[in-house]
Amino acid sequence: MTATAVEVRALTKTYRGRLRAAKRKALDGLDLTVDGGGRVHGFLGPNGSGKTTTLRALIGLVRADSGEVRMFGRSVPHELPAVVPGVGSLIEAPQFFRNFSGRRNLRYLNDVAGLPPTRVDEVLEVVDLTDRADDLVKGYSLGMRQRLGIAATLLKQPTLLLLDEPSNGLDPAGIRDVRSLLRRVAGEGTTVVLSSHLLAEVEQVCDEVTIVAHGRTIASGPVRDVLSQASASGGRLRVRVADLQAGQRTLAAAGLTAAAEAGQLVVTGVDDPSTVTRVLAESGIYLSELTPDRVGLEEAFLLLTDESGHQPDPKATT
Amino acid sequence: MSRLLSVEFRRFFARRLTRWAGVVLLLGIAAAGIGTFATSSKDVAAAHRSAQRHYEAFLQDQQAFRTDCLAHTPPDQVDEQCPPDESGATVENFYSDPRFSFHDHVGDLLTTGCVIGSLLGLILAASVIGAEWQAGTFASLLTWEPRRMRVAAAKVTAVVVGSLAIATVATALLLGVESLVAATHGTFTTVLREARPQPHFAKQTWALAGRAALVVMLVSGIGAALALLLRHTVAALGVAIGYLIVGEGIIGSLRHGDVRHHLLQSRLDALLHGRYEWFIPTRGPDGSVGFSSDHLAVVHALNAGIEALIFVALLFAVALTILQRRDVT
Repeated sequence: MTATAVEVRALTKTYRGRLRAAKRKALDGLDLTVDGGGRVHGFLGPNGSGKTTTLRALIGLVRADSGEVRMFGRSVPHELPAVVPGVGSLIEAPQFFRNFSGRRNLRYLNDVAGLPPTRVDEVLEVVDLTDRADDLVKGYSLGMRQRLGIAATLLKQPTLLLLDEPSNGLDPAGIRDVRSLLRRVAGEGTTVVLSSHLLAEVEQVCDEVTIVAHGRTIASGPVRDVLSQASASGGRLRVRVADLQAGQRTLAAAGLTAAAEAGQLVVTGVDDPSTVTRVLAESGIYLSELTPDRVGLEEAFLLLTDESGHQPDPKATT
Repeated sequence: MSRLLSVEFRRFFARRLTRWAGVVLLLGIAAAGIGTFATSSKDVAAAHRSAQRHYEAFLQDQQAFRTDCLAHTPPDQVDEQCPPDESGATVENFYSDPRFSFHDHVGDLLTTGCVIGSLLGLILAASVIGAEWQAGTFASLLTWEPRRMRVAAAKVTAVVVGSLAIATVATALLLGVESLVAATHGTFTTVLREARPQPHFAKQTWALAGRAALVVMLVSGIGAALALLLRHTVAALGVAIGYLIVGEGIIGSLRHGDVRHHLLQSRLDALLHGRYEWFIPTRGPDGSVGFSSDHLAVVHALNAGIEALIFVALLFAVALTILQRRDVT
């Protein structure tokens, strides 16, 4: 049985506004379960949905108002010192001393953890930064800093990696490299929690996904299941019947939206596919085929977050 | 904790600001040595000859003035207008010992080292910790060592001890340079004509050095605590300097300075110099304010040290409590 790497229950967090600014609820009873044992878990949500706050709470930077956080069965933040040696994290943009070289920055972190000095060169090699390791960080591009940040998370050879938008600033080749790196470390037994807005990336690399909106979990599970859930709840059904017009009229009379398309009826907004079967059968129309239209993660994300009443907040960064 | 401390010390001494401060201090020490060297000499005989020349010139001037005065003053006003020289000046009044006396200046050198070291400690401490907050590296470090108290303790220890080390080395260099000047262009004994014997000179000098070190540590500690609290270098320096200069200036002027001996500056002054004295204003029956040696407030070094330590400890208690509770974003 695989141990649970992360377990978050009913987490709430409200940020106090400065001066006259209003309070803002970042987490509103969020739940998150991430199984350990080398899985990659996508953590998705619109801007301001509470992803970064959750990751910050996991690593002890943010104190939650209520709820329970556990990593590898240990309570956070109380038992964090026992957990942190096995957790690598990159939350938002990686922060380094700008006037020190990349190597020196990594060496400091390496020494804090008491790791062998050779680890620094190893991780620099992994992120392909060896040639620029002795340059000052202030001369690095955004992508290079991101790679240095990833290198820092790998120093500890973590059993859990918390990554918040690790592909930010990377070029397509860099994004591909990160993707293969994540698969590789997962293959070596490291569990990865990947917060990203690049849905295609998440769909390609993740085994499981949790989608959050308004500080609440709205879907969670294996990627395939979440896509099915989205397909079923807000997705489309393709129905093949002999008389398209009769079928369309019958479904419309039952309050369902159906459109004829390529010899089939495309029914949208159906919670339960059996409703379509029942409505048509009651009118003496028997369907010969009913297929849920498989949606991609992007569509599922939009469907699920729209259903939760999300109002996009492009400036929010929680 | 030792690993954290080691990293913090290395980072403190690797910072550009620390290195620049070191360079500026070295230049200042060199300038002070050159200045002292250029303005001092071991040629006591020449100084005596110079004093004799000046004394004779003075007598001649006095004589010429009286002669001229007698020639132009009515006889009944001569006693009033042209009195004989009663200054009692001797050749000794025109003598200034050209030698640099290490003995007479060592206290001033230590005090100067303490003042510069304290200012440097305040800036370095506020800068090292404040810059980490601004750059976000404080948060990064907490993802490696989540015990905030440990991280804060390591950083504060590094900046306070580091600042003290720099101040100590700089003061030692200053003393070394000045002792070289004393060896070549001066003396290690006193050159004061009315020198009072100081049987415990060495002990007093070491005590002054110890108290100066404590002042540097306390002031650096204030900078570090404020930077932990305010999470910003400029804010920390602004509050520290604003309070010490403007705040205490205003408070010190209240009630005719009656409260002055309660201020932090007075405490640090007393700690450095061994004691701080302040005349307490008294009101006469007509409401006028007067000062008298009968009403003298004295703050001794021990009390001042304990109270300043309590002040800094309270500041740290507030800063660490807030650090422990507040989110790190």
